[in-house]
Amino acid sequence: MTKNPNKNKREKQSTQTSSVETQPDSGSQQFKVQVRHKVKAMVGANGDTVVKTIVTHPMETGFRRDKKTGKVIPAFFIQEFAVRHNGKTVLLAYWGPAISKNPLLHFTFNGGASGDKVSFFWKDNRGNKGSYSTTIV
Amino acid sequence: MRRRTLLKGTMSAGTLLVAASAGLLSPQHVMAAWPKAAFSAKRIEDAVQTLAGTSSMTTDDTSVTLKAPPIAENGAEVGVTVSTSLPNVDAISIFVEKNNSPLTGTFLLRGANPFVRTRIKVGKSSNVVAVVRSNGKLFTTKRMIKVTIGGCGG
Repeated sequence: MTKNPNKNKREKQSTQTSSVETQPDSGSQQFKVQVRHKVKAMVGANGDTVVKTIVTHPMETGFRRDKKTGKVIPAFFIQEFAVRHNGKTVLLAYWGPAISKNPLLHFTFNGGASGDKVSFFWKDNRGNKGSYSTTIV
Repeated sequence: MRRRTLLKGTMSAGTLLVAASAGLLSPQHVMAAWPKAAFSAKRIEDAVQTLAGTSSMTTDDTSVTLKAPPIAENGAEVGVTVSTSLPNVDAISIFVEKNNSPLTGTFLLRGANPFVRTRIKVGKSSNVVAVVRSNGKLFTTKRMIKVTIGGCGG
């Protein structure tokens, strides 16, 4: 039991986890979300930049029901996700509710160098949005 | 009904086109319109039509690679990887045939390599379909994923 937190801590450091929490710009009480993220951008074996990131978001489909109350849980998911390298967009994703909870994105692009800035932007269907960034290692 | 979808389809295809060109011209216009009609389409063909303006796709199992587990014990988190050896790929979309709305997500590549990995929800055993756009043409491949409920395998 005591080993696990240490292990997690090490993993977090190696993947450049930032514990910065993005506050939503707007949205009702019901749809407040504290989004945390995990991100890693590194130069891969063949010179391309490998980007792996996870953001925490419930990604509710709008079809599930609360087991206790029987009420439909409203749809609540990230719709737009963009990645920029040194300010230029390299990938723009549109997501639906069928992307899993706490979405993961892994992709690669060419032209990135160690020290370059990679930034991430997201927006959900309730108007919450946020961004974070990392540098390529 | 048919007319309605067609109308919706052409409308959002138009906005997508505008959005794409706007994005190309000015990178700061990243957050364009979310293609609602494509995400609410009930059939893959309709969703593709809405997104790409055409639904004619070539099945290419050698150039388009879709990696997914044949058996998923938890349909809520199925890791899928789409990659292709085709040139000039500017979009990758992932569909689940038997989901209520087949489109899970669409990835517009603006310089990114034709490789995307993510996790999707698969409601019940179904074909997962990857569609990539290379030189303006659509290529597709699919893979059957069996979803077991309760995680007992088999």
